[in-house]
Amino acid sequence: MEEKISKLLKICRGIEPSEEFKERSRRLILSAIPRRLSVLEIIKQELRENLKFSLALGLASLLIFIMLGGINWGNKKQVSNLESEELLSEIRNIDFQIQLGEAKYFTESAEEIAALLGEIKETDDQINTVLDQIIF
Amino acid sequence: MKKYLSVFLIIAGLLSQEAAAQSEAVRSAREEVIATVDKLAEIQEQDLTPEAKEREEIALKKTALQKIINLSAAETLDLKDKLASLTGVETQLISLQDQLLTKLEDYLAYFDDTNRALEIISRREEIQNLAGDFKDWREVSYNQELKKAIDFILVFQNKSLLKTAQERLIKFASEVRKTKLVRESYQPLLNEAARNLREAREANNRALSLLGDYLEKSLAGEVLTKLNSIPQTREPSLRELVETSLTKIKAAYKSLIDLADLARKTTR
Repeated sequence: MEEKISKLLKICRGIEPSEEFKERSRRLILSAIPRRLSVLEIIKQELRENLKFSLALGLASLLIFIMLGGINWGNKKQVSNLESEELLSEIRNIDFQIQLGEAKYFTESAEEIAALLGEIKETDDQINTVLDQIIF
Repeated sequence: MKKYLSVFLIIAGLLSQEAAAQSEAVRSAREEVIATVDKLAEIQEQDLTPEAKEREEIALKKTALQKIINLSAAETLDLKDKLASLTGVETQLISLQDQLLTKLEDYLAYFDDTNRALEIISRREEIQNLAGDFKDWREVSYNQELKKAIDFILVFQNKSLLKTAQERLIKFASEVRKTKLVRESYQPLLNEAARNLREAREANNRALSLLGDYLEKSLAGEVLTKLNSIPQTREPSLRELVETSLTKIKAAYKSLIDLADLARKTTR
């Protein structure tokens, strides 16, 4: 029994924490210790904080300014720039040249197809030509 | 050669202008026709024996006829889709819309039949006869019905544009009061736009009443009685009326643009 215990203790003596555990523990312990800041560092930190605050304040003011101004511009734009662009675009779409162009296309296409079919048919056209020549 | 080339040139011109309004399927079918016509023209210049030239020409004419049938089918399908997608059609004209759609469906079936008939023939006379029959059929039946379908589409597309323009005018009339503009400066422009839109509506209504002529006789009597309640003079053609209406809509938009410019200058 004693022999067994002695063997077990020998094995336990060889057990060591892993490298990862050691590293993690070291970092945890070191970070817990408050580092004493130099005067320069304190000034820098203060300046940084002030700058952050000023920027935030400036951005908020700008946002409020844009919002208030935006509402005002929006009212003016309701019948100006925005609408005018939309109108121009609508006018382009309703241009009767485009609208009636489609009807014109079908009329002309029908004429051209008839001419082409006449070319394929050919014989009748030749007869017609001959007939025309006989008539005149 | 010259005759093929002249037709080719006209078609190429068509392709660049009006065809811009066509669907991709129609454009592509038309290009195929042009390519075949081009080849037919090239054959005339090639140094071939008369027999070989004859063989090539017959084969190309068969292809050309097939491409023309395909083009006709693509155009018909394009129109059928446009006709079917129209909204706001008056109840009394829905029967005409259905009637035209049925005709276009029949034509699509006819194109399939003609293509099948073309597949099994190879002699010059057979191809020429089929081309002749197809040409006659297009002239007597197809072109007439296609014109009706196009007119129907024109009137109802225009009606839809009118609706948009009227909504735009109402919106403007309401918005302009929120600006610094004095009533005396903007009211004439609003009045001008309203007058043009009224005239545009009247012209389109007259065009719409002319559609009643396209109804088959059994339906025409009843529908025409209803449509004739719209005051009309029958002198201008349907397309002229649509064109007048579109010009008036354009003029109305011009007044609204002037109004927008005026508002912009005042608020600057």
